[in-house]
Amino acid sequence: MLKKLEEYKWELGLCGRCSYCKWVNLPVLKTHRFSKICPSIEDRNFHAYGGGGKLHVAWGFLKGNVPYSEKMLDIVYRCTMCGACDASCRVIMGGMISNNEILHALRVKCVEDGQSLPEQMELLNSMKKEDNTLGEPKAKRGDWADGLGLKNVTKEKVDVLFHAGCRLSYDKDLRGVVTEYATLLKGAGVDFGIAGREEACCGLHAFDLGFKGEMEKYADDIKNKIAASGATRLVTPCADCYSAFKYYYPWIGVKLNVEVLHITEYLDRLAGKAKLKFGEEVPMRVTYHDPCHLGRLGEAYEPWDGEWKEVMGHMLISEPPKPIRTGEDGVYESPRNILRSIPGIELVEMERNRVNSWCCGAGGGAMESFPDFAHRTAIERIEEAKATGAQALVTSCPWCERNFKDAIAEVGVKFEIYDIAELIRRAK
Amino acid sequence: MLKSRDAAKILENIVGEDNFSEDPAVINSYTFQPFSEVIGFYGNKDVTNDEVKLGAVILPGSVDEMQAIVKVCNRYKINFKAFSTGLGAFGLPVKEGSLQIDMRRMNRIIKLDDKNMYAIVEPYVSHLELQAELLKKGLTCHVIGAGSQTSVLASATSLVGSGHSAITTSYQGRNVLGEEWVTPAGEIVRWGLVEEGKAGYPGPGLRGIYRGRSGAAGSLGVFTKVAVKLYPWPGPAELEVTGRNPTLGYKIPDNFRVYMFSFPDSQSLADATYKLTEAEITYHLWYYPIFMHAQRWLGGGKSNNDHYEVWGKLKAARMVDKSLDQLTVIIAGYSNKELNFREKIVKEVIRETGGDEFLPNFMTQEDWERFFCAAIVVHKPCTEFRSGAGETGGGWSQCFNLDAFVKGRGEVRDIFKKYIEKEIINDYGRDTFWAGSEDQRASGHAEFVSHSDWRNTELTKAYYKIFDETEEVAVKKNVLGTGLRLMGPKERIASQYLGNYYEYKRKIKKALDPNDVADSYLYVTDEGK
Repeated sequence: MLKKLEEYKWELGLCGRCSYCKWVNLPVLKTHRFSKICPSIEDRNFHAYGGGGKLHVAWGFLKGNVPYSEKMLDIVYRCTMCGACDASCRVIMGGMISNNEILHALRVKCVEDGQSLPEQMELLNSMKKEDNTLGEPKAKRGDWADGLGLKNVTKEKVDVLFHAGCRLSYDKDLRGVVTEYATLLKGAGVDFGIAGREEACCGLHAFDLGFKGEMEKYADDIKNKIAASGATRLVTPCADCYSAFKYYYPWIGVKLNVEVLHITEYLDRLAGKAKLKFGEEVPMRVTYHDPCHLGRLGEAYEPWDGEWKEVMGHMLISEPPKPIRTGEDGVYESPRNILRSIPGIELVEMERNRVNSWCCGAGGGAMESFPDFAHRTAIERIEEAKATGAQALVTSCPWCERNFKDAIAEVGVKFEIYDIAELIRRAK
Repeated sequence: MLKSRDAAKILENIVGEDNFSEDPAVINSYTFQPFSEVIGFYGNKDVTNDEVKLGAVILPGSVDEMQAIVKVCNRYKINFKAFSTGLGAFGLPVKEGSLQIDMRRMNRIIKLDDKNMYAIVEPYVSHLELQAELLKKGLTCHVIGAGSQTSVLASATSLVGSGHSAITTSYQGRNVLGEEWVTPAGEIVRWGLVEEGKAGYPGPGLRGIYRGRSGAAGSLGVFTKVAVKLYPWPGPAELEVTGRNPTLGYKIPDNFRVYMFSFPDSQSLADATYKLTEAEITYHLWYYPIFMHAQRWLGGGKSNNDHYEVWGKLKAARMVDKSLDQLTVIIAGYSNKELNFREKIVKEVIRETGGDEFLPNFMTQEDWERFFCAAIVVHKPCTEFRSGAGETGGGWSQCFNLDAFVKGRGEVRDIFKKYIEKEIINDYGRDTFWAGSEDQRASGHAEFVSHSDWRNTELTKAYYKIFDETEEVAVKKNVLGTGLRLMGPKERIASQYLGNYYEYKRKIKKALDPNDVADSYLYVTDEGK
């Protein structure tokens, strides 16, 4: 359950200021060049921008030592909310500090106090008016499916509700991604449907900015659509939506009562049943970028309402044992399994992968509020991809793909960026 | 905010507006340090992190910028202190309105000379970053016990520097082969392998001036480069990671062997250590208290709940009582013949000294891999912070010999017992020391590790009295050497027994820092006299 910032005060006091939140989990570190994990502090350098530093700012804020200022808000919002500090902190604090929850609670507090950024209002207004993050008309949300002959879940019962998400519904450059996935499901004989123009945003982008009410509203909306459609599975090609359904909704207390799957998980299952086959060779050396929202932020949320008890003196243990979000149970293997099954594809790993993946830079409102920061973060990842000798970077999140493409276009770097769907299409 | 607006403007101009801040949000993120009561402890006064009032934070990007900053501090009499990765309250300047210098932007590995076996690094390069690059070249570096995420330079130039591979890789203060140093007066001093055009030999040393055994903790200026000695690495270029986040391990390479031994009494432990160090055959030789075994590798060590569960099993098996005299040993060989030779010696020494396997029924393969990882890269030491949000690092650095360690440990046991009974520190059984030998010698580092609750100020103040009591015993009975906690005003305790060296430090400080602008609190001060 979402708590107020004040309720995290005792956790804030636990931080040992070890700075582990600035690095990958150290035993996996391979080079000095790609050892860091936090885009925010890599961009601004002051300790306040790191995962622990933000906790210390919150600590000072709660004690009345840190007033709102332009700098304070820059520290709070110039962050992709990628969850890397959360995962790295687990190594040291064993789940005693809920870093990601605290960062959200801090933003919620800022919003409550009227301290959101002007740049965020465009996104918020678009959500309020058109139910999407991109300022596009709601009436056109289902246009991507024109001519595909898909079921409409507002009118028909289905087994699978396919949620396209804002980016794939409207971004014309990426339209081939969503249509390819829909075509694959259809070809595999899956009984699925979409909400079309009635589909709404998952609300995660608003929540990441601290607007909790918006996500609550959209969570109720999709819950109702699932119930009405009779779907037993909710499948999405968007990593952000996946994370919202799997992690953030349960965290704010909304249960969808349906199996939530990312499209790569579902396709991986279909491949296992020989319902997904590839004929053409795609001779290409690629590296896979783990989207934060599919990886460490894609773990299911397990509620905990226990207590901390002192043992052996002052050591704190949780009763019942508090579930620890390690980041390990995100979706890592399904996308890789699909890539490996495409003839001709050679998959090579970047140094920072899976739990220790470097963020693409798009999340947490960075893309909208700090595009320069978002692009620098993306270019850092492109450099890492290039270092593997890969010809292309492949991902499974439209926000990552968009940000990578925008970043390389801006700086004039040449590198191929794909969603897995685009390689599947070539292999059919 | 700095008192002088002119100074603030000049400092901002030196580094650019992105790298200078007086904003309370930035400043408070720097003053947050657990155990900031330690600052009060040294000066016998109450100070917590909320009471440390920095004036500004600055991020230099080069030695030239660093020099310019120090000169401004001298001109406007601004107290300053630098830190690298920032672990511990030692990096905080204490005087109100001070300038905190964060060395984060100076993050280059300048040189890796595998032929002459040294590296030159800037302040923000961490131990594991350097070590990862070195393994590929068949080399390694010393990694300090505070963890592989800490700065190589800071441990080499400014604060202690002991670590778990010290038997092979010495302690960091002895590994310095040169440095680039901006003195408190703003002069740039380069010596040894850092000096321009110099290669192949370190030249005259200044270590005795700028650090001594424990370091000046930032009180003698700012170090911007250091050359450190490297050591042969017998393992593979890349270690294979095992386990799941967050409890990772390394697959133990075929040419390594890992052991844990227990002994019937402390003298047998000391005898075994003497014999193993004389034979010069171990890569790692360390003594961990039983709670640390339980916390870091046994059963995964993912959380305090894991730790407590394992602790219960150890207690039930009476292992907590038996754990006082034990050793962890790692050996490595470049060939099977060499490895077998070393193993033969280890086994012979253990036989001669009555040793036996330690924890044979507890350690799984995964535990051994986690132990190996923890020992090789000093992984996860900061898990101490979760054990009651507690304290580590008290005790003594440089016990002059193992007999002194064993004797000293016995001398202070009653003090610990008293604090456990008062429920000030956690109850970890009879022993909370971790210790190890350095340089294939019987001298080394010993340090007690116990935990309290630093969020409880009264408790923490009570806790720090342990240091006074134990140090007093240590120096009076001549059982241990200079203390880790004997810094600043407290150092006078040891000084009176060791040639009154504190007064020499005062002279060094006066000569190098005529304006007294490099925060002197943890070096030499009249406070708390």
